[in-house]
Amino acid sequence: MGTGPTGSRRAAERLRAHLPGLAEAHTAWLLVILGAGLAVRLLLGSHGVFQADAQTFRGWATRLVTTPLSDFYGNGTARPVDHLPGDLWILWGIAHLYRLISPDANFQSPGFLVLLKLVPGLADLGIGAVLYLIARDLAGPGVGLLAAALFVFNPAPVFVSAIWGQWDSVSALFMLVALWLVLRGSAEWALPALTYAVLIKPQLALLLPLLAIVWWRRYVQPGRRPERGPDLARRVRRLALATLASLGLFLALDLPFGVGLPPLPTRWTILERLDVAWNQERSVSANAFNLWGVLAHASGSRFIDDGRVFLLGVSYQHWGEALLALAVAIALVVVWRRPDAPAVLWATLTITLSLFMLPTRIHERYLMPAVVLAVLVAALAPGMRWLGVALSLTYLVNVSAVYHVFGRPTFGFGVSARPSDPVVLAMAATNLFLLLVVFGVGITLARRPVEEVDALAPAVGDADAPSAATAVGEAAV
Amino acid sequence: MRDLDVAGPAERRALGQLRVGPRWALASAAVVALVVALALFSGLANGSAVRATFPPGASGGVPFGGRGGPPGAGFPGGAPASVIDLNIVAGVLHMTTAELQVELASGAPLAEIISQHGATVDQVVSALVDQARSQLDVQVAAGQLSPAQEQQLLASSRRRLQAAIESNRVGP
Repeated sequence: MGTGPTGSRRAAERLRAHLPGLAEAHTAWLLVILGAGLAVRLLLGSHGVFQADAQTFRGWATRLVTTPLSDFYGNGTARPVDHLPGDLWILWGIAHLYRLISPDANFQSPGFLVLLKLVPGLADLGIGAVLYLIARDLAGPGVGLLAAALFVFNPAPVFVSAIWGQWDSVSALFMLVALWLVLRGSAEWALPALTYAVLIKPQLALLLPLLAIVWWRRYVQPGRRPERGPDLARRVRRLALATLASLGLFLALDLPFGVGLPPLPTRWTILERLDVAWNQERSVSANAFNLWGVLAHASGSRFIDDGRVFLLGVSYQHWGEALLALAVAIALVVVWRRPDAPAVLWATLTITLSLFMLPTRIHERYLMPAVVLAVLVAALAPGMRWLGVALSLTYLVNVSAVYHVFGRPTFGFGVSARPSDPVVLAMAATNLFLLLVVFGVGITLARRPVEEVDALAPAVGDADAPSAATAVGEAAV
Repeated sequence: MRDLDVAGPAERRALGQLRVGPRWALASAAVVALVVALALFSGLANGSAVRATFPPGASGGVPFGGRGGPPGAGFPGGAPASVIDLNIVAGVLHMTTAELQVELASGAPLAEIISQHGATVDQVVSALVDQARSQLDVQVAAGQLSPAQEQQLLASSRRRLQAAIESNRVGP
């Protein structure tokens, strides 16, 4: 891009010459944050677990080491396995590791639980590190440290990873890596990262259109009309290579489990596995404090089949899908108008938050990717700090409520922490308010003149040149 | 360090645009209040067309249908009373939970395992329902559930547990 003001760069070099230790100081502080985050998780990890989920993981681990992978999705598990191979490979890895170091063949010992919780704990730290990188490049290392700390010490992710023992931060990490690659000018290589995230949480596939639009608007049509830049051919080659890599990754992860893409002659297609996962749950909300939480709670109905008619002869499920499609469309339109960093961040937050708030059958833990984005936005934009705090709070209340009601807790707030109905309604309504507020931010962004956005479009092909943001970041050092 | 592509210097300044105005916030609050009021007072969500298929769940304050997958053992959308607790099943079969899990992981249907260990599906279901009853009794005592609702739930759970075991929808 080469847009960095040389004055700032020179200032940064002068500052660094006089204060050579400061650049390393930020790295040291990041390591302190990550180390402290790991310590917190290890300390809390010995307290509590969501028993049903842990038992499921143990059952799957047993099966992963005792039966061929190609039979894993077969009839051996009484309840159909509803996870895609993405995190099953990680479970396969730690199951084999555990078998190497422990004689316990059934994964019942506390040692396996430590490994189970270590996976999301490390993913949390990975998210902290990537948040640091993104925020540092956008606003300087101090903000990078703030972003990392806001997530690593955020009680909600700590609760999910260290106490509950669930792996939601793993897919969120891959999603965040994809976003980081987009912001670094490697939108093509974001595709394999997002592919892995989708093979854990398939709903994140809704970020693929966003990736496509960013790529198109940055490299094919930076102005109002399509134009062939000198580096377009190189970009297209990179995209083709990244697409092939993503396809290769998909097949490498799926084929050993007997899962493939139609018309490959595999035992199952990915569509069949998605169908199994999707149809495990039929209620309007699987304990998520979202739009349907507002309606289901307020109505006093404790279970509503989402296939039932809601309004205008349309079912809850289809209303949810339509609202989600509308939300994604709005996000894409805004990014089409201005594919810059603030809009890309906003759109990613909007889509992940909408994925939690609008469809039916959503679980409480699925807010994690939106919390990651909200924390990042909170660090970057002081005017949005309250959003990060509020979303983290509602997430914590949601997951701790479900944990205490269904999780047979051995640690935590105890039975008395079960939410009263007004609390449930208040949290779900708060989340709905936050979603609307996020859309309000999008409207503010979209009102910005297109010409001004286009003027920001970088020249393609100078990705190795230092950027203004980098230079300013260095100057801040 | 590589360049930021999407994030140029002007875009850094534009980060300040990530904010919401007070008027929009007020309008959002008003919309949420309207949605809540509509749901509370219009019967929007619990009219006859959308009456719950299942009886009120024993979810103790989390109102949307119990704990199902993913992941978790039990019925999708079922109440806790329907969850198959392998510890209890193992107890009825006089084996450890780990041993039971290994047998399940080997692919044997639970009904077959029960039979092989000299028990009946009815015995297992009764033990599971007894456990559910002890949980529900707490909620009845706390006034969160009426005795009639408890009986209704337990009867429903018994049917669903029986069906789940016989159709091998248990575990892992």
